[in-house]
Amino acid sequence: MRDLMMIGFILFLIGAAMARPFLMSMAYIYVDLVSPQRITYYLLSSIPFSMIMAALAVLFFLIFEDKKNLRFGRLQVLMLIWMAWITFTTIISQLPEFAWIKWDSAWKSIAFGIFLPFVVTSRQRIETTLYFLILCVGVITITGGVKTLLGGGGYGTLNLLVETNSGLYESSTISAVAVAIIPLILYLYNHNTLFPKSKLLALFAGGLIFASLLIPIGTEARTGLICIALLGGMLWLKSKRKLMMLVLLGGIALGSIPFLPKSFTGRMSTIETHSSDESASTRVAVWKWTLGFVADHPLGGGFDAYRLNSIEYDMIGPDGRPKRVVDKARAYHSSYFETLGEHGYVGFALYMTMQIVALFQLRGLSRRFKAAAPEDAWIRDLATALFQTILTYMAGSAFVGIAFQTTLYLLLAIAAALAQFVYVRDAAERKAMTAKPRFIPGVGVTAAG
Amino acid sequence: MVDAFALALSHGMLALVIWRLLKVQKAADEAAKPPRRMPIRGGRPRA
Repeated sequence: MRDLMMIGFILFLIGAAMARPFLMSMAYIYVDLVSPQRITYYLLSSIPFSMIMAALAVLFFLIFEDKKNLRFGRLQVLMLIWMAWITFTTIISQLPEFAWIKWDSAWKSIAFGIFLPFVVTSRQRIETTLYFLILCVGVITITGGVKTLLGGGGYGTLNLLVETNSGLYESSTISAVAVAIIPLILYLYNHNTLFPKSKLLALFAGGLIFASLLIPIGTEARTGLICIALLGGMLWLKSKRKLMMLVLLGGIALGSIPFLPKSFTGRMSTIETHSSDESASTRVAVWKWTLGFVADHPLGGGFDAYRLNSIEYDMIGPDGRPKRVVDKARAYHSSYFETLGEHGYVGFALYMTMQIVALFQLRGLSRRFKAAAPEDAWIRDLATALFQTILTYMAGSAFVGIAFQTTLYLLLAIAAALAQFVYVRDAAERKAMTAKPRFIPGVGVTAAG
Repeated sequence: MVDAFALALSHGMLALVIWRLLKVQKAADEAAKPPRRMPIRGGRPRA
């Protein structure tokens, strides 16, 4: 039944793309984020779906899309350089047999991020991309949220549709992403052009936000709590009634503590006492190893260089006495140390530059359209929402290795698409203002334009 | 059961979004078409 439902949906999506070709790019986003071939039991698992959708997305663009205003924006150029750099570090990697495997998925995420702004060229297409991003993540957050409410949570035990613990189905990753996209849910509720505001829409948006906030509780991922704290702070700063918002948020936070599972509050308390928590102690030890490794290998060790590590660290045992632990091939648990260890100082600088440039670009758009006419308020609000989302993602990625997750490159692509939309519009307005008057036979001299 | 509910809800919303998008864009395409020129009554106009 599940297989049939998903095949039916995919066929419907492909059929819709025949009418509106840009939807083929949305189909790729769906396949990349949801991975229907992993959710279904039999029918889809043997088909190379991602590859087919990617090829169709590019083909539909080449055949059907208007390429008049095709232009590489700043973010796209940075992503292109980033893609070239990680390919270079993979060629010189310390463990090529592992590095090429990870490269094979990483370059696709980045390449699609470069390609998407060429397709997403209007407000409606930007909105559709946001719908797909939010609802595809929603496939997982709704499942996890409901199961958490029914008492099914627990670190590493919350079943999110599939057994595999990779991609968006990994606990810490979905915790960070689910919380990060909350500003985009709020933006779509306020500014979408497809559905009028109604109680049903408010209920759905509210339910999706609630499910997103339940994910960190259900997965017991500390990353999620850090993202909630940062996002709460940013939303509070932007709110017009700060005192009321502070009292409300504080009341909800304190009031919910008695209702949270004991295992959750116990795990969150280890944020302060990491020396008594093995996963946190490992994290710090791996980070120290990475700093030493990159000092000896400034260009990085290539993808999966963490497999070279062997770390010893002290932690406080359950009896309160210190104990020595030895561990090998422990993952970075941080996008920043991941990029530093795998792609060196240059790679780290490129990774940070991409995100910082995106943030500055979005902040510039927010400020420029601060006192915008009502028909342009959506640009300001979308730029603000994307800023909050990317910053929350950056905070979450400090504690989980998600430097090459599709979500990040989708967010950067949407930011690039928004900037490109404004640029093209400005260029058209400048052209209209400087156009010379024309003579039309039988009519006479017209005004400029 | 929960998985089925989540899949149905999220995919249902996605299908609704696609359907609305097609409807809205079709209406926009119709609105953008030039108006039909109606034939003048009584034959061709005099010069």
